[in-house]
Amino acid sequence: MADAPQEAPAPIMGLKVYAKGVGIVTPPKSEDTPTESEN
Amino acid sequence: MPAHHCRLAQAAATGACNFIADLADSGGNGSLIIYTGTEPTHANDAAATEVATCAAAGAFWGAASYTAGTHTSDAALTATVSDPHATGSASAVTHFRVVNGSAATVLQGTCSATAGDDLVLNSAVIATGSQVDITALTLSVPIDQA
Repeated sequence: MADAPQEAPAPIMGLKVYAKGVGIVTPPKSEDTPTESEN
Repeated sequence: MPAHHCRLAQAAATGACNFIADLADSGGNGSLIIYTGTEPTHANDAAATEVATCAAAGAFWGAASYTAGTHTSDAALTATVSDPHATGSASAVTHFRVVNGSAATVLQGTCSATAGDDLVLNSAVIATGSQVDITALTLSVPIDQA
């Protein structure tokens, strides 16, 4: 007889460390990406 | 229903915060790496696809201190960490990791341009060659159980 599946352990409530932040993305300057006006 | 009331003293939370913060400087200056793709379940799992690597020029986080208003011990970046020329991707970023100078992961969190994620950028898509500046990343250890 197969063993009964084990129940997953109950989640443990705990002290939740976290990190919160912000960042800025600056696209490359236009000279790095040629445009039609440069043709 | 069992009750759970594990609560840290302020000094314990500050010590834990400092321990995590100091891990980022182990083996050399730490970095914040931004990825696209599915966020790994655990911070020790294999990394996804790197989009930008923002290297710290010195200590990653400063000394932690207790903040009465939020009931947390917090450590802030010592300075902006930057990638002046990101690898880039056409796909939106999804998560980030802080890794130390030995390339060991310290922590992992969500990253997007959506308020509420752990790291919020002004653009979820980082084009190749973009400059990425992480101006703030506060590490927090609460004294009270969630």
